[in-house]
Amino acid sequence: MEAWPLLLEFQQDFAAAIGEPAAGAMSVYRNTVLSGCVDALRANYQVVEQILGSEMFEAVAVEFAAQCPPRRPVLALYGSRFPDWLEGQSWFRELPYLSQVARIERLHVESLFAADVIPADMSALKDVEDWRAISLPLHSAARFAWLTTPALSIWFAHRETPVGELDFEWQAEGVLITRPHLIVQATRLCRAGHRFLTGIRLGESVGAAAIATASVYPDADIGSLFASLVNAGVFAATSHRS
Amino acid sequence: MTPAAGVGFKAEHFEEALAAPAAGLWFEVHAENYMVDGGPRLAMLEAVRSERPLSLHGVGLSLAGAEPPDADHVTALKKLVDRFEPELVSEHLAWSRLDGRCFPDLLPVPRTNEVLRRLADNIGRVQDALGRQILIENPSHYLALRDHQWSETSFLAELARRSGCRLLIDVNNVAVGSHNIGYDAAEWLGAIPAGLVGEIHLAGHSLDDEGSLLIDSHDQPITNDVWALYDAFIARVGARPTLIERDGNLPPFAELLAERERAQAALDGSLALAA
Repeated sequence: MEAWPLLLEFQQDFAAAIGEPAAGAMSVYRNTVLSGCVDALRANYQVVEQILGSEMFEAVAVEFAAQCPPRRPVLALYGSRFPDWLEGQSWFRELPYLSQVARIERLHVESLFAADVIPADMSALKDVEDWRAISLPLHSAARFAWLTTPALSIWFAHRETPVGELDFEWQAEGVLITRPHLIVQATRLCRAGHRFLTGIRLGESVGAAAIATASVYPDADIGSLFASLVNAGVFAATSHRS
Repeated sequence: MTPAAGVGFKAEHFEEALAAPAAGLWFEVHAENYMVDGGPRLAMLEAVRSERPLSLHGVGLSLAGAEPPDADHVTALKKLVDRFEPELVSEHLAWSRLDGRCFPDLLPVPRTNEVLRRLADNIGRVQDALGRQILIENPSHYLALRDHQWSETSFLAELARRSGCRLLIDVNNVAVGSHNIGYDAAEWLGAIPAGLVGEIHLAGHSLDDEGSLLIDSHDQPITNDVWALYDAFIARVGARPTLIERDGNLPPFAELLAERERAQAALDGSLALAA
């Protein structure tokens, strides 16, 4: 006679056993599971690791992996909750920019693995007469965010080898990440650019987003802002009729 | 695939891998690493595939679990298979998913009738979804589980008979398990039916921190023991596509190619004997 739930019970007991520090063979399994998670986080949050140091990062990553284990076997995309989780840690107050650095890294990873889509280019938009009738979808690999700390300056400095000089004003910053083809690009996004793209993301036409942006930021050159966003690969190619 | 030796593909070796002139060279990748929507990683695999045959080696289907394989994961695998048209598709006799959680490891099971039935059913589902046969790899053992109802070799043979899959025999896993839980590696390999063997894996291993267990770490050159087991195995079963697996402590590509040439020479010798 076999009892049907045997395999399930075996798996549950095994999972519980490797959830705790173990010795001998069980430690081999436990270590492999943990190092799989830690290595995936290390690959996706390289600047966070630089800031914390390798040893501290590993301790933090092990704790995160215990609380938010992978839900999919595709580890290239593991750790979407890491930025928010960092913000909830008791020691976070000492590094208030850290979760926003992590957020930039997460947007970078999302952009890297997003679907390949042809970006819109200015030549296809040259004959537009009524911009209020034009809706442009965001490109699959375009990401942007407004950060309340100089996290982007910190992130840029750490991407240089050796780490660049941390010489910046303590102020809010916008980040724009695009991947029109195969290479991910990160650039600064001004407040007007962030307002404009937020409108686009909410479904505003190009004209409506431009008018709303100009009303809040009257000094912004909306025409050149729009051209620079198109050239960065922010929009997907389309027949551009809403 | 004509039986030839291949190398596990690593992005670090991209240019050398594409430029390598070796006749018959093929590459294997972990399927899960390419289950993304787009970007340079998939473009790189396209470039490799345009030059060389490819093998997709899955690590995340959790075929030996009590739950059926995750439908989204099977769909993602099918998408890769349809796009890259691999010569071989393989997975492990292991589980890695439970109650919605994934464990990035290949976890063991007792070889019971229930597990056999579950595995055969899960493999059947995957083969039906992909519209092709898959290969199942024997696991590394670190733990002597109780409650086995089958010997490992008869379990594998019966699994292949029931599900229609074939076997990927990892000779290093056999050697590691032989050391860790105590069985005769040559005898084990001698009990595998030749007709079921669709691919062979070769890799290096290392001793764990406590100094007692061999770990299937893929971070060292292949040992002489493993080469000797391999030579004897292909002398009996005949030439089979053979992969040099290296995942950690990555050496220059030339070193992997040298191991690959060693395997190819064995395969050529075996072919000459069979002719």
